[in-house]
This record gives sequence, C-alpha cells and structure tokens, in this order.
Amino acid sequence: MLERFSSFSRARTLLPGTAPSGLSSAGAGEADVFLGPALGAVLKQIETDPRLEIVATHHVGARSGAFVPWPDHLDPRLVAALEATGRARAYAHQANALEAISSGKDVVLATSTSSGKSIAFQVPLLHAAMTEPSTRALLLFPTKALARDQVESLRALAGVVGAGASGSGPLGVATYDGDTPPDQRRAARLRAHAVATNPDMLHRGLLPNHERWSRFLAGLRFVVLDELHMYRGVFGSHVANVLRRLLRICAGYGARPCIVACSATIANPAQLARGLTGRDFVVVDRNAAPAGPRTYVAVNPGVVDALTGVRRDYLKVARTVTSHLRARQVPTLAFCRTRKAVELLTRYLREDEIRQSSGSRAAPPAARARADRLIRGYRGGYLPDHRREIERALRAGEAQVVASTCALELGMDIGGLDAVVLAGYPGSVAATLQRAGRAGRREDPSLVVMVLSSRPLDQFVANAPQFLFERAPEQARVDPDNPEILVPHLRCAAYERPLEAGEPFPGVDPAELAPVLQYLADQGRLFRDKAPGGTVRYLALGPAFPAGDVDLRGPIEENFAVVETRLGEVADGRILAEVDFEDGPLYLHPGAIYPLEGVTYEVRELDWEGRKAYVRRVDAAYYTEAVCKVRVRIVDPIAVHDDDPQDPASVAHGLGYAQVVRAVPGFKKLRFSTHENIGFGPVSLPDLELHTVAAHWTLPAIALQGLADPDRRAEAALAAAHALRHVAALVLMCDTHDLSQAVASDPHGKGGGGGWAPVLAGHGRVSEEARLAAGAVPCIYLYDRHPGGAGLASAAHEMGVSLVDRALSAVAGCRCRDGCPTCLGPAAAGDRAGRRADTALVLSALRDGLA
Amino acid sequence: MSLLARLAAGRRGDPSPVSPAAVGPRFEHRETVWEPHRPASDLGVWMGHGVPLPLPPGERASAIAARIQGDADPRPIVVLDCETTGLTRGQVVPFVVGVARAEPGRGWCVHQWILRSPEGEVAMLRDLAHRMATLGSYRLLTYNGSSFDLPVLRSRGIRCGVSMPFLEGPHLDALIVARRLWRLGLPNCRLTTLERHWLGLRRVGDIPSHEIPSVFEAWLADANSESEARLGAVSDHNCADLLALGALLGPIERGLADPETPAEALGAGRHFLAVHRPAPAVVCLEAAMDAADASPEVVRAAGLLLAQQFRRRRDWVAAERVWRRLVRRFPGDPDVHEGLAKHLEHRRGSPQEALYVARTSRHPCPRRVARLERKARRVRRDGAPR
Repeated sequence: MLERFSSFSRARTLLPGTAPSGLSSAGAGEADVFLGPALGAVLKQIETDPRLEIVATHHVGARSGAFVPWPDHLDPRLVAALEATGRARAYAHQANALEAISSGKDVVLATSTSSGKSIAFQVPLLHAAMTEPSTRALLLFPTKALARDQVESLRALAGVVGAGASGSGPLGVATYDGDTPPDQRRAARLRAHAVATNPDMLHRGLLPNHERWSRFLAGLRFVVLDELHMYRGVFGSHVANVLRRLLRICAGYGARPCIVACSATIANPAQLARGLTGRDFVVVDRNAAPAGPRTYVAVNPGVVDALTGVRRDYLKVARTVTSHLRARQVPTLAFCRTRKAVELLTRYLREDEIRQSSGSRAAPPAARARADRLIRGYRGGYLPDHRREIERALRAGEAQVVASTCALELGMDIGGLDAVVLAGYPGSVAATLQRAGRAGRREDPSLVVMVLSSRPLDQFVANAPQFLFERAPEQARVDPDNPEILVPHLRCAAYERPLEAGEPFPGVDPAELAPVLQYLADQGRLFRDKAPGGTVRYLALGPAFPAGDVDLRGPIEENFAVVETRLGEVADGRILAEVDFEDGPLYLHPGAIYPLEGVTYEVRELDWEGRKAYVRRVDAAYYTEAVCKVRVRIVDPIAVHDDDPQDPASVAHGLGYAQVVRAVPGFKKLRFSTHENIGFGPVSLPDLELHTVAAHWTLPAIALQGLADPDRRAEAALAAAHALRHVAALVLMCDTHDLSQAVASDPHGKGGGGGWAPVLAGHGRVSEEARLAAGAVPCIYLYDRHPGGAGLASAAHEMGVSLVDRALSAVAGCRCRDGCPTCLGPAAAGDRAGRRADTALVLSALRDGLA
Repeated sequence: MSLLARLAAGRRGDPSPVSPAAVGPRFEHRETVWEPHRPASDLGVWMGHGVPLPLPPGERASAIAARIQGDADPRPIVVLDCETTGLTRGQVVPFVVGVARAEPGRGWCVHQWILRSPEGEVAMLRDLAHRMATLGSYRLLTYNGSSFDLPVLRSRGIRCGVSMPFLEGPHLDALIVARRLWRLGLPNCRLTTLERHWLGLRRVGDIPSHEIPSVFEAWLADANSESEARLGAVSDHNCADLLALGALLGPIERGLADPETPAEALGAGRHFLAVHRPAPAVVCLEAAMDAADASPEVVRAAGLLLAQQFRRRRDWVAAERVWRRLVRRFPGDPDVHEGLAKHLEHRRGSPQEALYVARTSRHPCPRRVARLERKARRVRRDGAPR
C-alpha cells in the first residue's frame, strides 16, 4: 500500500529562478508526466502565448489512496448499501473518523473537497439509527441550500439501505428551516431521525420552543457541524453561543451528543471547533482519497504598454485560457471574483464556442443552443431550481464549462472536473486551496490556472508567488465570550430554562459566569430568584422574546426580486433571479443591464419598497457598472480625547456612534469585449446606511510634517489602518471582515466633527479627489461591520497604545522586502519605495502620541 | 481578563442598578365567592334582569363531567382559564390566571392571580401550583385548554422553573364537546355565543377578547387609573368566562342526554363515538337520520357514521340497509356509493350490482370499476362469483 500524503507545504514547488536542484523545470516535455494529452496541449498553448506571462508553475504529485475495509461493528445492511453505491472500502481517514466517533469522541474532519467527509458522518448516523431507532441527529449547515443538498444525499443512502431491508429506509431525514411548512415541521419534530437546519433556525425556532422538541433532544446522539470554517468572526461567536445553549438544553434532557464537524482547509480546525463548542476534538486531516497529479500555473496578463506597464485585462486572459480548455472539451470550472465577471465570462465563452463551431459570429440557432448547453454560469442570485439544474448538468457532464462565483466553492456535490481557472486571486490562501480542490477526478491529472489581475494583491502574488505556495492557510477565529455577543445569548438561555447559579454553561467557567449573572441581575437585564430549596436562579421574564432581538448575521433585509415584464405574454411577471438587499442599488438601478447566464435584461423600474425590479429583455452591446461612494461621520461621540491640540505630537482620538453611508450617484456603460466606457447615467436611489460604533485616530502634526506629500500620507494612513484592522482582528479573535477600516480627512480631531467625510477605503477604485481630501489631515477609522456594533471597535480603542504597538511590530517584523499585502494591505502595491517606512512613521507617531 | 471585567469595560454607559426595594408587589391574588342565587349582572360583564347563573352544585357538576367523558370518576371539577399577552401559543405570558370550583354550601369559589410585574410570574406560578396541590384530586374543565391554556402554562412552568403537576391530571375540554354538539346548529362555538344561546346572557361592557393581549404591556408602560381599570376589566372577563363555563355544563349534559334537534342528535352521536360509547351513539345517530326535519347534511353525516358503526360490529344487514337508504337519498354521492359498492363487492359478493353502484358515482374510482368489471365478467362466464 502506497501511502504518501502531500500538501502545499511539502509539495514540489517550481518557481522561475528559484527552482532547487532535483526538481523538474516547467518545461513542455515534463508536462506530459503530470498532465494528460489534452491538458498538456492546453498548457503548451498557454506557455507559448505571447500575450501571457507565466509567473509560476507548481506540481503536486499523484497520491494513491489508502483504503481499508469498513469497520466490523457496522450493520451488514449498511455495508452492503455502501458497496452497492460504489464504496466497497473506506478511505483510511473515513475509518479513523468512524472509529473515533464510535468510541464517543468528538471529531473534526479537515480534509479537502470531495474526500468523502459527508460519508464520515452519514455512516455512524445510519448505523446508530439502525441499531437504536430512538437515536436522533441534528445537522447544522450555514445555508439552506447546503442543507437541502445534504438531505438529498443522506436520503439517497438511507434509501439504498432501506431497499435492502424492508420498505422504507431506516432513517427519516427532514429539513427544518424558514421554508418548511407547519405540518412538515411537526413531522420533523416527532418522527425524523435526522433534522437538517441552520444556526438561525436553531436559535429562533428550536431552542426557544425546546419543550416541543423534547423527544428529539432527549434522543440526540449526534450534532453535525458542516462547513465549520464558515462559523468564524462575529457570526461564528454567535453560533458558538447558540451551540452552548443547545448543549445545555440537551443536558437538561439527559443527552450528551457527540459532535462531528467538517471543515475546509484552514490552519486551525481543532482550535476553531473547540472555540465553538468548548470540547476537545480528534482531528482527522490526512486525506487518504486517491488524487491524480495536479499542476498549478499562475499567469500574469502580458504588458500592453511597456511605458506605463499596463497589462491586458485579466478577464480577457481568463477568457483565452478557458477557451483553450473549452476547445479541447476539458470539463472546466472558472471561478470569478464577482457576479458581473461570471456573466461576462459566460457570454464570451459562448461567443467563442459559437465562432468555433459555426465559423462565424452570426450564429445559427443550433450552434447557439449547443453553446448555451455546454457553457453555463452559476452564482448567488440564480433561483434555487436554476442552480439545482446547473449542478445536475455539471454532474451529468452536460455542462462542460461553468463560470462561477464562490457559490460553488462550498460542499455542493458536483463531481470532479479536470481543470479549474481562477480569474483573479481569490484573496486568501484558504479560498485558493478550496477552489483549486474542485479540480481532479479520481486518479486523472488536473490543471489549475490562476489568472492574476492588476489589483495590487494579485500583482503582489505575481511578484512573489511563493507567498501562495508556502504560506499556511488562514486561521479562523471566534470569541464567544465577547460580552456584546455573550450577554444576549445568556438572556436567551435564561429564557429557555432558568440559569442556576453555579450551573455549568458549556464552554464557560462557572466561577467566571456567576459574577456576570449577578452583574446582569443588578442591571435589571436578568431577574434573580431564590427557589424554595434556596438555590439562586436567573431568569429572563416578561413578554419580550430575547431570541427575537438577536440576529446572528446582522439584520436581514428582504431581497430584491428581478421580475421580467413581457406584456401580454404568459412569461409576464416571471421572477428571474434574486439580488441581496445591499447589492440592489448596484445592480438594479433603472437603466442597469442585468445579465443572467448570457442573456441581458434592462432594468425599467425599481420598486424600492416592494423590493422588485422590473426588467425587459434587450440585446445590449454594453453592460453597466455602478459608481459607489462611501462617507462616514461620527454622530454621537462616546469619548473624545484631544489632550493638547497645540502639541505637534499629540494624537486626537476617540470612540463614537458612527453613520456610514454608501451612495450610488451614477453608473457607467461599458462595451462588451473591449470594456471601453461609452456613457454615463445618473442614479437616484436611497443611500444605504450603517449605524455602528467607530474608533478614530487622527494623525498628529508631527507625522504630517514627516510626510509632506498628501498622496503618500493618504497611502501610509491607509496602510496603517490595514495593519491596525488586521492586528485588532487577531487580538479580538474576530474575522477581518467583521471590522472595516477607512481613512478620511479630519482637521478638527473629533472624528469628522459631525460632518460628512468622504472615505478612502482599502478596496475598490477610489477617486483622486477622495485621496487628496483624505491626505490633508488623515484620520484612521476602525468600525464594526455589524449594525449597532459588536464591541470590536470599542475594544480596539480601549487597547490604544498596545494595539498600535503590535501593528507597528507586525509591519516592521514582516519578512517582506518593502511592504506586502499582508503587512500593509492592498495599498502596498505600486512601485514606490519606502512604503513600509512611511507606514512605520505613521504608526510610531500614533504610538508616541497615545503613550 | 475575566469575563466580568470585560463585561464591565464595555458597559460604562449603562444605567445604575435597580434597587430591589423599588419593586412593588409582584402579583395579586383575589378570591371571590359566587353564591348560588346571586344575579349574573352583579359582575358588570353581563346585562341582566336579576337572573341568577344556573351554576350546578359541586356534586352535580362532577357527575355531569364524568358522564360527558364517559367515565365513572366522581372527582370534583376545577374550571381553569388564563388571559395572556398573545394569542399564539409560544412566547406569551399569562397575566391573569383564574380557577373556580364549587364548594359545598358556599356556591362557587373563584381564585384569580393577577400579575403586577414581569418578575412576579415565578412567584405567581409557584403560588398557583401550591394552591392547586392543596385542592387534592380533581378534573380540570377548560374551554380550548388542550390547545391553549394548558400548553401555555406548561411552557411557562419550564421557563420559570416551576413544576406544575396539576396540569397533567384528568381534563375535560368543553370546546371539543361543544363543537361536536353545536357546530351545525349555532353560527359559531365561541363561549359568548353559547352563553347567549343557552344561558340567555348577553355581555355588555366586557373587554373584547382581541384587546386583552395589549392590556398588560400598556399597564406596565404606564400604570394609571385607566390602564388599571382595563386590567380590572380583564380580570372580570376572566371571572365571567370561568362562571359561564361552569354554568354551561347543564346545557351540555342536556344536549347529550336529550338532543333537541337532529343536528344536536348527530353531535351527541359523534361525541359518544369519541368517548367510546357506541350504544348511545347509535341511538342518537338513528334519531338524527330518521328525524323528519333533518337537513340533508345531517342525514348524510349521521348515515355514514351509522353504517360505519354497523360495519364495525359486523351487523351487515343493518349496514346495508343504511347504505341503500343513503344511495336512494343521495344518488351519485361518491362517499355513499363507495360504501355500498365496497359492501356489495366484498361482503355480499355481487360484483355486478357493485359495479353498477360504483359506476353511478359522481366520481367513479377507475381502479375499483376495472376490478369489478373483471369480476363481473368472470361471474357471467363461470356463473358463480369467486
């Protein structure tokens, strides 16, 4: 038995100029070892294309699987069903997980995509239900779509088991989410062995009504947490508290379920699982599924203008690369960073297909239909049925190339593909690994091509590709003890059942909890009661429903529905897609072109209150892009420190309730294929407002003197803000996306002093105006992304000097040459020397001023 | 940093602690004795002319309840009703809870608990549970209690950590019986409708039910004379509900023992079936079916139940007679034809006639018709049914 486990860090890396001896070069002759004839030919095309630069090639050798027989203790009918579904033997990692689960341990599986993680929890679940029919299992998925997918696969396996035995399957599987009708909810409560739900529903539907679920909870043997890595940051901390409540209520019914968690590639699966549940986990992360050799190629678009260094558009290059694969009929998944890019790529690839098959641009209907069938788009916003249909087409091999957003990155079962194209660096090592993991079927070779864009982060990867292959994937962090999160959940828990003083609350030390409960009772947020036996208990009483006030993911606004108008036709009023509330103004303003799998629609009218956009099918030669402006102001200061305005070293800083506004003043029309700007239109829609808490620090005069050029100032302030945000996220155990950074001009040192300040944020295109304005007297803002704040900005402000000090050492201690995206953020791009020194100057001025 | 330190650090802006002394009485307990001859209008809820409530004395009340439920358990009854902050079952607070029972020689004794602060709920439920425990053994009488009052109190018991074993004893939900008896005869089965129809009482000045949920929160927000008066109105309403329910035991018993109309007879039959007393059920159903003034709806429902009853006791002759009557009276009715066709096919073994009955239904069942056609052909060929 050949056992060789490889991962990025141990893989053979081939970087131009740095190839160590003993490793093969990325020569064409070598490619055949790693790639089949079709992929080899495509790679050769890419290598010889003068419009492309290959910046790195990286090979990961084949891995033969490690197989073992299914454990003896499993029910023979179950083993027979597994054999009948093509799983004659278990992968070694599945067997390890089964063994740990059967001995009652909590397990976290952190192997790559399509390594059979689901089987590792489905099998023990089925086995338990067959041996003890009162066994119950709760399956938690971050989204409804994932739950549905897993329910189908579990039902299918249970059906095979049941077919071998008697009539119906041994396992009743039910979904319990917002879409479940009342009679099915009742059935789920009373009869289902396994209930698939999401944390929100557990928080609001199940736990507050736990007495109705008493039978289910009393029999609960398994809790499955799928896509564990999604539960991080503020959302993860909320989920951790929901799980604490679940485990507590279960204990009340005499159940102690075993927890099985599945995670994508992250650096710390066991730590995250422990943070979420307070239990110690057995980690299973040695993937024993066989895999073919995989080749990674990072491509930079060629330079168009040698003088300015402008490169070709990355999407056009992604089109070229994907079209090479398409022409050779290689099943390919093209991951784009935005929904718009998905639509553009789908359209372009279909055009290429039609041109190739019919030899002209004027498409005969047959060629068009063929292209529509072979090339698909996939993104959030498509209706569920539409998405299911595309997934099915992918599995069945009808769809050959699918352009997708990260929506296909998660656990949806779509089978394996031969090639993955990444249009743009996905933004993190973990996401890159996750998306690349979609390539490769059984032992066949696979190819991953990453096309880098002109974004600073991408160009950093182009300059230092080892960043990608050597760095460990990101960590996922949670802080369930954040008071802003813990306290509301304590009230929910007390509502569900009185919290007794000294009662263990899973994951919290009772000695720590007791004074907190006492404090909350003193504040009137909990009610203290002395039971007849003398035990002190804490309750949440009154008509208010505590869980109703707690949103796990921030308040949820109703989506926009995209409605087609076709007067006088049956299809009139058909709903085409959904758009998230926040994205509505960007994609559905009147005059916008809304593309949907290659078909273009023009938005005629946006009914803001009714959350509907009426669109009409048009044959547009252009697409639209909304212009977006962000402003921030402190509405109500909580604390302002401006000790000595005359002292050039003194730093004005503070904390306050802030309002962040995103406006969409207009949109641009861009021609398909060339992406040239052919017009502009105004938009008048309500602004989106975020009311939150922001910490702010104004650069002291001494720093302004040190950096005379406003442009450099703004850039250094932005880089400092980036460093502060990332360090704060690290220290506060939250996700970097839970905090936002901004730089705006603040001459008065009061966080904008009640006036609006246009924001220079670390992402998107920023106007020169905003940059110049912010460069005058830059003020750094850190604010909570969650409405109302989640205690992160205030904690960051509280940390003060120590936060700035840590940010400074992160910047100074980074191993990069002169600032990299890790230490300075996207602003670190560009070729100006001394960026790191500028940032360090800003940070040390802040530190000295605060000390 | 300890949890408490973190919590305190983030909450400097919080209001100062509430002192326990500032909290007034948490709940109020009221006891009212309702003497047998007291006029109903005394309560201020009913319009009246000095008519007393026909409340049955204790032993009679328990005997009626035992008869209604078809058992011989003579335990006394306790009427229970609560007013809550919402009408959905989950997440509501009962802010007025009332129980009433007949006390020998004293008339009916009403106990009411009125909540005076959200925190008072625990003490209130504890007091309620304690008092109920001292009453010994009894049967609960409620109106819609099985799907509202009892689940609400159970859920609140869990929330407040107070065990309330009294909820799990014998229970008579009068709404269920009333629905069986009078669904067809009255416009609806609301308690006030029943009062008006059977007790001749009309409510005036009573607080409308849909206004009750908001009363407690309004009182909490601002305890002035007006909100206090409305809280008082809710407690009077609660008291009226309890007494009316006790007084309705008489009409319910009368309806079951001596139905006045065919619809009532059908309802009584339904009720006896539900409490597993087929003998009186058959008497009532036959009366409903045979009555000259019975509406077609009543005849059809009574006939179908009756035939089903005869079928269960394998009295095929009686069952066939009922089905044939029904087919004559309701030609083409699918349920009626199905019953007779099944009987003819499986019991009588005459597929040809069964085929005719099945075919003449308004919605003939294709599978039955096909099967009967096969059987009928076989009978013609072989001369004898198989």
